[in-house]
Amino acid sequence: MKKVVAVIVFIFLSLLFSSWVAAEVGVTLNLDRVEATLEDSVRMEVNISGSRSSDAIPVFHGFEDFMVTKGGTSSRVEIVNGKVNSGITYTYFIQPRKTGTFKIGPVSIKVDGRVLESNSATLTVKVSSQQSGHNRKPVFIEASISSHDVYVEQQALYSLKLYRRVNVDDLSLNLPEMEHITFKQLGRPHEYQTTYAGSEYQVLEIRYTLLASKEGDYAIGPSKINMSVRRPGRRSPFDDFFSSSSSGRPMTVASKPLELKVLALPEEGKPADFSGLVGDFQIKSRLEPTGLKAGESATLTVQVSGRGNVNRIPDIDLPEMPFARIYSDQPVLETEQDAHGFGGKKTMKWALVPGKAGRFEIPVLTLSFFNSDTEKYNILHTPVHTLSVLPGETQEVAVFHSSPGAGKTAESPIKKEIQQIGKDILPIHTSADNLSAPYRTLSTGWRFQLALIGPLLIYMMLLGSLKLRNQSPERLALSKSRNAFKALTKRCRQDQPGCADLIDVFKNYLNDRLSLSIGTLTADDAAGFLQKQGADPETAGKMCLLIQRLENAVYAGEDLKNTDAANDLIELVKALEKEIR
Amino acid sequence: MSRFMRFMMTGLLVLLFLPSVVKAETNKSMAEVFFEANSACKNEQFQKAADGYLHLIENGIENGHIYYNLGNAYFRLGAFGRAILSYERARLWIPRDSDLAFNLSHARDQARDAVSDSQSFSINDILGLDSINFYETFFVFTILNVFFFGILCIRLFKKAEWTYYLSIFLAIFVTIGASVFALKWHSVAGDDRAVVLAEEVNVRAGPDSEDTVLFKIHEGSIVHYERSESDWVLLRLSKDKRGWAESTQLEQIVKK
Repeated sequence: MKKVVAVIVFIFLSLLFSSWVAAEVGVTLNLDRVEATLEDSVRMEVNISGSRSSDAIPVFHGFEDFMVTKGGTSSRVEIVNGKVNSGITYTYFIQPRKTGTFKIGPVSIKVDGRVLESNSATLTVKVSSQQSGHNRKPVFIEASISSHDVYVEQQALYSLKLYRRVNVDDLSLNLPEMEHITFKQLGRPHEYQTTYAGSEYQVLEIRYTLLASKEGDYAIGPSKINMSVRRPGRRSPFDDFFSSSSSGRPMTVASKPLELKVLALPEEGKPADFSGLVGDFQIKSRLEPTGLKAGESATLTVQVSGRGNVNRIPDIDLPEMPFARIYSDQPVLETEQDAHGFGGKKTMKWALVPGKAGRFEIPVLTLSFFNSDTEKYNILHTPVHTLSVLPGETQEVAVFHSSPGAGKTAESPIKKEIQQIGKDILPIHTSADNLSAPYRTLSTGWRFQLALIGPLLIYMMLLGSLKLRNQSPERLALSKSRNAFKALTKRCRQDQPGCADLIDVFKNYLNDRLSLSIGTLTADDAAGFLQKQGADPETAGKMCLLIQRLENAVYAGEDLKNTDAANDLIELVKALEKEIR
Repeated sequence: MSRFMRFMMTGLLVLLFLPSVVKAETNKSMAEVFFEANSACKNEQFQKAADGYLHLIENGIENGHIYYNLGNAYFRLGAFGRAILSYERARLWIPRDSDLAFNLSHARDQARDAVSDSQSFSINDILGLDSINFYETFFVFTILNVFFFGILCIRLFKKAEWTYYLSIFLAIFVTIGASVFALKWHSVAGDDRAVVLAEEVNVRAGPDSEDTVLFKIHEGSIVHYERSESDWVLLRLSKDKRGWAESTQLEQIVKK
């Protein structure tokens, strides 16, 4: 039974092994809000993905001004489309001790022997509002903006908070509609508890980035939320059994209007190739490989990443290079968002096919952007890459143009079904990796047959050679010698031999063990053989006496089944096995 | 293990993997042709692009991505039959490629006839074998086979308990692998589908241009190829729709 269980467990673990090993381990830190008051308790989650256990509890950084209380641990395993995702979440509640803006984290944690570090988050702590009046209402809405003075295309954060002390549902939000200003929602709405003017409120917070495309003074109108306020109703015994026990009262709340001043980007220091990129950006580039033969291809990858209006990152032009032909790949733009706005990265690739040998420098690529924090234009440069080219076989290369425009899709309004406007095929596959055909080499011609029957042939050859080796006279003699004691024991125990038989059994043992061919064995002969093979004289003497005893019994006509003699013989031979060569 | 046996095994491994290294060296010069064809495709010189991809295929650089690009070039040239043929060939290599599935579906929409392209061997659909290609199946089977006989060879010299359980475990997987490989092989070898390349094809009652026209099929339709006689092919759409067409007007997806 144990064996069956072991096999099942082994198969199960083997099936799961690849999935578990492939899982990437990562740690993220999340706060349930970005602003809090001194009375608030902020929920913080440390999420470990790719592992269901950690070697130690998380170690915090940047929590000197907070009181941290543990809120529990939960682990999870999900199997989605056959892929196993696992994780563990540590929940904490942090209470601020003073006001200000704090960097929370990173959190360090040891998982599978490796120390992993999470991201950081920013939390702004304010004094709790002591206002009274209309804000003591059971439901109200507050709008705020991260900065009232912004530049064109600079991201500002517009935050809406719905405070409520009663149950509401059927919420619908109407944002102010304004020319030249767009709102983009940042993630899902957050819900948490807070203290406002001395009262406990449940808060629903929704954050947007606000982007102005033209300078000027704007008045951002009120945002409105329509809802249905639930209030408990009295239940009459005559009411229908299935009727609701509460009733909804429609209600609309509106935020105060806000002012926004949008400044034009300064003309002073504006680079000639400025593309309208506003925010904070970095550039990285790499050339792989840096050494190759003429006619082979190297890939130059340039990645621009940062926070701001990433959709304005331009497609950088790689200037013509006299030593190589350039094949550009379709740029890839990836956007991401967090509580502080939109960011992302754009990756551009070029295949360079040098036509002659030598050492060549790849021209430096530049990109300018307006840094809204420093209020200055910055120019990013890629490092200088050098390409070492050895003489190759082929020199002829062709000019390459960018791929035909894949159908560009306009952004669709939320909750509107996307309509098919046109239909066309998707573009060609341009990567040089597409020239290879994985596994094909093994599957064609004689290699196919060899791969199919090769392992079997090798096994058969090994098996055959072992069989042949075992059948040689030397091998047979060795085998007999090894099995001599076993054969003697077997005959002594199974056949219950008489005294004459025991002498015969021992004679056969000696023949097999020492590769002899004795016809008749006497006690003296036996002692002589044994001493010659290195047996202890005492053991040889005992054996001599035993054989004499057996011979006497045979000659005296007492050749009965003698188990004591058989046991004595086995014991003596066992001792001889250790002594003789 | 004897020195001779070690030498034999090393030699076999080298023979198995050396050709792939040699092949990689020859592919380098073909990279230029590939880039040229891509460049031509992007410059809307689709005939030049198609010629480039065909040149690669004729020189042994045959894979799903090349057929996919060839299909795109033919599609742009308005040769929907050849585009579908190339996409179908690409599907034998890269069955899980989503770009290919999209383009093939779009190309099929251009065909005038409503003809099913289903293969007769439906067990493939049940086991999901259509999502893996023949070479992947063979590679997995070969790896399992090597491991299985490897462990049997080890057992010749070391009869430990773990080798016993491992050999049973591998025997199960080799059996599954061999079955899947055999099914895939059967499916590829038995794939008799062909794509109509001519704009309109008269399907006749016999292999002669004077025979009665039974029905007409159009470019891009997928039919079953039964047998050929001189320049004529017996094709089948369904049980009651069979007939002869000129062999130049259609081409089999799996090259025989």
